[in-house]
Amino acid sequence: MTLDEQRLRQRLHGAASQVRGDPEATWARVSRRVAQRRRRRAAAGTTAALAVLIGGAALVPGLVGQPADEVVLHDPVADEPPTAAEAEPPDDAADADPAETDDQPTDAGWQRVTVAADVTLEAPEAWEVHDAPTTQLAAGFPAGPAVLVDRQAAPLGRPGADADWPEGVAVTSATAVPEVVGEVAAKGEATTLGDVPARRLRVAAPMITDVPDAQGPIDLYVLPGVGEGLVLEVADAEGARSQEVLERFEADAVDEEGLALGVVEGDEQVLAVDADGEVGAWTTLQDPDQPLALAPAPGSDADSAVAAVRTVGDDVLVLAGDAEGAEPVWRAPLAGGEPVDWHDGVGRTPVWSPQGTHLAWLADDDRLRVTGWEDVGAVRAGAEPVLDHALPVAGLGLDDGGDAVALDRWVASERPDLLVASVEGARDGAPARDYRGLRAQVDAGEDALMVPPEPAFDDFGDLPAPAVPAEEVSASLLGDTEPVTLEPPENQSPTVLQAVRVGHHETFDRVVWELAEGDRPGVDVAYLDQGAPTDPLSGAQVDVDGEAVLLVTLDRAVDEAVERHVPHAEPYEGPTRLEGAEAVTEVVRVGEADASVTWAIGVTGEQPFDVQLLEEPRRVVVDVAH
Amino acid sequence: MRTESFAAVVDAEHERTLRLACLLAGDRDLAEDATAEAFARTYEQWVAGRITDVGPYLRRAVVNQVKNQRRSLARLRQFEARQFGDGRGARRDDEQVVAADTVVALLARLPHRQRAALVLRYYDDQSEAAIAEALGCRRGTVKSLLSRGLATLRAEAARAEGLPDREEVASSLALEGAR
Repeated sequence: MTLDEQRLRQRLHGAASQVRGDPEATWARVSRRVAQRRRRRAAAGTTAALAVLIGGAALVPGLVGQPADEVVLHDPVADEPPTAAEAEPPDDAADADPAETDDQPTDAGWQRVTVAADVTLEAPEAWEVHDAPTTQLAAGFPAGPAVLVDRQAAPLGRPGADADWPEGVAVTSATAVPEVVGEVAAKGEATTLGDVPARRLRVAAPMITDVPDAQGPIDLYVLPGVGEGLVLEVADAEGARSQEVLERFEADAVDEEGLALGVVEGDEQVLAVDADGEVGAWTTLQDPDQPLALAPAPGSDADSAVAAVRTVGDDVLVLAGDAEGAEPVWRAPLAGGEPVDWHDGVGRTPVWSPQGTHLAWLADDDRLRVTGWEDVGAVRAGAEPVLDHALPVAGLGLDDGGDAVALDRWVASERPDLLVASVEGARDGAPARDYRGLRAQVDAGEDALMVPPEPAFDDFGDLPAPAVPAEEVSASLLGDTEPVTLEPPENQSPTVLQAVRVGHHETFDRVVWELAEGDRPGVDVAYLDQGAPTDPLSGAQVDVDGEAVLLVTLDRAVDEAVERHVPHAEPYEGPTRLEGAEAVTEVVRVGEADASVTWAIGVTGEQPFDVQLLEEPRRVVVDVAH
Repeated sequence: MRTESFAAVVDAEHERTLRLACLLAGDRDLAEDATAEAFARTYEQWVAGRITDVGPYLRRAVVNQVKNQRRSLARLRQFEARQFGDGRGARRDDEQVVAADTVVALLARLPHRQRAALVLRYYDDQSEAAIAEALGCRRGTVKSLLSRGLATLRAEAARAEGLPDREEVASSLALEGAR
């Protein structure tokens, strides 16, 4: 026992001793965090200051190029951050691979961007850079076009008025900083906070809290009348109570248990609940004892769940989902009763524009459709939507008026892949902003999207269409030099190479291997560690121009030795050495063996690359960043 | 004792805090993130004059940050798994950045509180009372977290090494440690 403990101690100390901190970097990060937390508190209770984009017009002058406004900690004694030199003697190991820990762009180079001249923007400030995958996109603010990105899978579980919360439900604040998890009484209790009507959700025995001063129960006040605020009230050891405004609710929410709740703003606060599978029951906060009954929309069933609600004028807009993924969506008068209009499923993840004029959704064929609400039925009957685009999309959002759309293609699970475009522009074939590969940055505190000063532009029309569903695409987004491997399906018969092409694009070069119909090949793409590639059969070296060699192996694919694997097929007779473009110096066939073909891409250096597998015709696409 | 300047606090505590976070999170980036957030919170309390000895507060903040990160990640993975119905939500081995050491890798598989208790005890050399404070639990709970954590670690180590029994695990740990 003693031995084990000693060993464990040694091992832990050994592992820890390899970690060297950089006090300056820590200081800078802490400084940004403090600034961020201040801004959050300042913004709470007022309309949140907005960030972000939307394509179609010009950048607001003056934004780009301003220095990041780093908020410095107020240090009453010494405001001098420690320097690396005083804090730590130089040590080779201290700088252990900066790329590993700090490969993100510096804040200074990144700006919040908008194209709407009437949107008020704060001066760019220091931003915390996150490359967490975005999971939800919401768009639209009264102030103007904007897109919000929520990097959390589960937004704040909404403590709704009289919803019967399951016992032990976790009230968590996913984006607000303090977090409280504990059991909440089934129903909140009507009260006031100051003069403001509020509903108190008492967390009697907080199991987990990171409000360290809190003693005893923690109260969460929902303020329906004040911008959907949530106030945290805690008592410290002396019994003094303090309050902190946590969050404004901007979005509808789904709690972790899957109970869908949505609270909408308006003259009347409406809570739509999915109680016992009955979709569309709702009630008002003002009169919680008199829940209004809403007939479930035709087409919804017991497996449906209310996914989102929003009020616009006298109507409430409701989105729901069912087991098939086709989501009924309807609008109905706030006063309750029969839905005035509904559609029995518009596809997956429908999103309302803020004013309820437009709806975006993912159709069964994985195409993104955006259309006016009035025309949803027409689109389903075959009419043209406002926007019909082929992209695997994991999340999307619409801005005011439905004239911009944010897509999160999320082809790789690790990073956000955002495309923000003007629907208007997309319809006209005009360029849209493509953030592909730019590792759009999500601000943790303000849910804002950060884009680099010079976003890459790409034509909407240039994106491959139709694309395979997201789950069949394996890609490491541009910004990555890590190997990408996509295993072939089992019992796959080899497919035959048809063509190889090299294309030049504004920010990347694209190499395409087009394959015959048949099974999907496996793909393996990786930079060669050193030396030249060798023919797998003869062992002969194959010379490749360029500083780095990106080896592309198509498993279960053939190009020359076709007759052995695919009877009656024609071998590939195209060039085996192709000219490069910008980053790509040349593309050379290396060889094939055992129904596995290897090609090499000569690259000017180890540039980030991206691999996609596309259909109709079947193509393996490797994009190499300039 | 109240430290004179927060810069001095960061200076004095950052490395120890970062190392603690690394062991807890098993990932350098997450650790940096948790460290920064923990300092930011500590700063707010410190500048308001509510704390004088930042150590315990900082420890607790780091432990909580790592816990929150893990919860967010778990939620994200669940969501991904739901969204795509495949394994991309699953944790992958290559996520380990810090965990070159097998014991550290095994640590990552423990439940948060067990791991936190072990790291605080055997890395940070904290007393059971201090651990209880950092974890927000009673001392008895710390004892049981430590013993369960050690037991799980041994079992995991045994499985990882493919060894049949505890004695051999112990000796293998000893061998590895000596290497």
